[in-house]
Amino acid sequence: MKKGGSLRGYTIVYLIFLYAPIILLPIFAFNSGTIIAFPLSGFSTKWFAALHDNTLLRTAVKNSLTIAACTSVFATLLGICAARSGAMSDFAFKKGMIGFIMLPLVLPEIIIAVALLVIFVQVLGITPSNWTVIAAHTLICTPFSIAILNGAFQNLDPAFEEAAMDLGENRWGAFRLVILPLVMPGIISSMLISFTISLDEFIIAFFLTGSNPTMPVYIWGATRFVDSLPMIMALDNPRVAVSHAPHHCRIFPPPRPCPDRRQGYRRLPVTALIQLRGVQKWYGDYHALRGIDLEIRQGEFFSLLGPSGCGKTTLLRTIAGFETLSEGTMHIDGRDMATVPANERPTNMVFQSYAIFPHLSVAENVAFGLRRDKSSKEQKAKQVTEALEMVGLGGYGNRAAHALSGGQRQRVALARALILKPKVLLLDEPLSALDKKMREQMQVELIRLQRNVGITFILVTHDQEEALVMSDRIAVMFEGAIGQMADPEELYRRPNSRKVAEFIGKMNILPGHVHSVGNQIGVEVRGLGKADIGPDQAPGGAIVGDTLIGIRPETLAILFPGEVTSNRTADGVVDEVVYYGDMTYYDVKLPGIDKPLTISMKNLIGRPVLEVGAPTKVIWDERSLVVLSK
Amino acid sequence: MAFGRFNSPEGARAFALVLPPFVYAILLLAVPLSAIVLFSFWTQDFTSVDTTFTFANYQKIIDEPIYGTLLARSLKVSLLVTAITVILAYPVAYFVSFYVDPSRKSLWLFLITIPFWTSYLIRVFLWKVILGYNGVINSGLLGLGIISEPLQSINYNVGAVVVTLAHAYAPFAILPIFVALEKIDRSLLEASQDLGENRIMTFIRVTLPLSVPGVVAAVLIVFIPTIGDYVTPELLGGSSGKLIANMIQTQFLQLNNAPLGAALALVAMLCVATISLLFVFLNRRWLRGRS
Repeated sequence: MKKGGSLRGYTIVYLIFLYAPIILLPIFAFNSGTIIAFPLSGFSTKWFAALHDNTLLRTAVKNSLTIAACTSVFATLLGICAARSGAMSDFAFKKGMIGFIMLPLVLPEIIIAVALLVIFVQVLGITPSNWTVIAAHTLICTPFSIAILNGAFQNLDPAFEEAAMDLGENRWGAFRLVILPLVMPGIISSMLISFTISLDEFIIAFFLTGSNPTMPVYIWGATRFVDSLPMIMALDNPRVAVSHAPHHCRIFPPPRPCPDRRQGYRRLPVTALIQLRGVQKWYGDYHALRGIDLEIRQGEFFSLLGPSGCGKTTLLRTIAGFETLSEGTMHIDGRDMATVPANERPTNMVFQSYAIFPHLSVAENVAFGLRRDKSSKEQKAKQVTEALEMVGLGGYGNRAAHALSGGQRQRVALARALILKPKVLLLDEPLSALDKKMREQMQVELIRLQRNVGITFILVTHDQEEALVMSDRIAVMFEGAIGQMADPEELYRRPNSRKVAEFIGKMNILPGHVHSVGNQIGVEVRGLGKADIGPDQAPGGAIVGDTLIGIRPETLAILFPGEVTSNRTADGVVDEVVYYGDMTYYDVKLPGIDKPLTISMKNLIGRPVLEVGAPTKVIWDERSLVVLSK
Repeated sequence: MAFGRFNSPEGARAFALVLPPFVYAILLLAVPLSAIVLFSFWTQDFTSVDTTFTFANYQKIIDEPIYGTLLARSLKVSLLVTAITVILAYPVAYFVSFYVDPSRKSLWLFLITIPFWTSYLIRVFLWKVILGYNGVINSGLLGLGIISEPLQSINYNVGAVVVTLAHAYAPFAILPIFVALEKIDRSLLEASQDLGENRIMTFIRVTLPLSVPGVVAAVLIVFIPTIGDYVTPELLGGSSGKLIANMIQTQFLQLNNAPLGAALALVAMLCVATISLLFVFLNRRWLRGRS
């Protein structure tokens, strides 16, 4: 560990400089002399007694506390408004408006003091009172409040509010139950800061104070009368001690215990069916969804697959109700969703960040959506236990949410959504935050869970393997539109376009030509030869002319020395060898095409690994060809 | 209709939320500031205000040397205080950020802020006790026999004002610099050393430039309030250490000449704004040049 010797020494000297005047406080508070100077005249507590007897000072203290209390409340309320607005979506002039509210931060206080004095006294003819000081202090404390609360509001994952609404709360409920508790540390420090600024503020208070002074104004007066000064020093000693006390109070209550009873999870009836027709979504000029037509069946595990920015998450959030449709219609279970807000939809969501409320325990998180439920406390506790059991977290109810691992958070998010028995469960890249091993385990568990509860799952993912493993059907999306929708096998074997083919798995794409179209399609693949293929091998349609033909690497083979085949072959030369252990990938160059053909071969017993440059024969089969639209 | 301008319902909600604090700022900041602008073009006619438009107040500020002197001295003292405070504070922030064990950082910051939980007025007055004619330093040195009569050069002058203000604004300088230093990704420093720079050059080429936003924040936080402070100069400045804020206060509360006071306040504000904007502008330009 670096020690920073000379810097440490400097810092200690600096601290002595900071503390030097403060050390004098208790010395003169307990010194019997009236004059604040050395040598000292003797120990005495008479100044503390004098404090107690001074009625004017008592009034001043009372005034200051009243003003500071009012200021801290008003400034924090205004600060919450501005900071919350700041964290929400932009509109014209928002930055300017908030910037203007922050202006007192960069104005010397005397400017504010004289401006308010002129407007209050000279223009409006108001007699200065505690209220004029409160008004001024609220003005100067609001920017501090905003600065503090900004951090709190901006660090807030928007998924928390959405999760609360997804679980059935309306906007006010989401604010009260989730946002407010999460920004509570910010609110408390905003109130404390405003309180202390107001309590100690002198420059403005001196201009605007009424007939009864505030404490700093009284102290200012006292600095003119030397004999009351030691008393002021006595006054300030307890203030130092007291002003720090609130910093040590606990902000989050400990998680409340929750009864733990083990029982099986009840099977849920499945009735949901989602219908989207001509769905369009615009963000200003950006066209996020370009005419989506989609039907999702009851009880199906459906995946939206695509590269980032393809609109799959937007589509999911549209179904959840967090985004409105620009055009088109959406029905869930036969009901038009146009006017149904997120908290009233029969959908629940597992957020990418999981949005586990950090201020609640595991059980409280799972029970969040049950608040509006009429059933008894015991009934709810039972449901929570069952839901936790179902996701394999039995006995975790009392844990604090922040003490969970990634996989456990994911399970809590699942339990929290499934406990509400939604018709559709929406999963936004739920596995992307997990490591590979955990991800594979959760894939299997999710499939099992979906089969058990029978709820329609809609999964958003960019991981093609994940989609292939888990889904009943997959919609592949590119640039706001669906490229292909099919079951995993069909999608893999018969991609309808070059884009889909390249996005899912490895695909050799060769130039080719369609000769004839009919019951059979006659094609010629450059480098391989002519073949007749079935119409199912052109899922995107085929027209006579040049085209692209796809072949998966594992549907090709290399003819090893000593092997024979009745299949068609083509001559080539090994261009590259990549050894994977169980497999070897060969790139083989064929005459007539530039790009080598990739072929994957299982490393069976006795099969050698070929060397680069070896002449070889490539075995192919017309049944594995697929005509790709460009 | 009014909401038609917003892209989304959330934009409209954001607007509704920002409205209360904005209206409050209009009523208690924009309106009063406009009022003193108006007042500065009027004149005080014994007990009433003469509302004929005139540049007389500004003319007076230019003509009578006392105002120029006070303004120049205020700017000089504020800039000096700012420079000293920030330069003294930087190594402390650096030490806490880079050399203190993470679990103890908040303890150190706490230690730094404790002295500032006492009243500002009291703290200023305590410096008077330390530096005064019969103060701690003088009586201490007299008692030790080092000097034969109290030093007068340490009290009731600009130097005493500078020391007191540098003390008063210390945490306001340390905290923003500390925050800026904390934000620096430590792997950048390792990268710099990996690329062949030693610790000192790493500091000059990486740490210092990246901490500039914190330094600028510290400069503004110290500079702006010191220009408007009349407490410290009043208690410690003597006759040679009075600043522009004392004059504004005198005009308003003792001489009852609000128009001249308003004009002085506006001129002072203009100076503060110009210098502050200069700092912000330099910072922006400098940062843009980097990115």
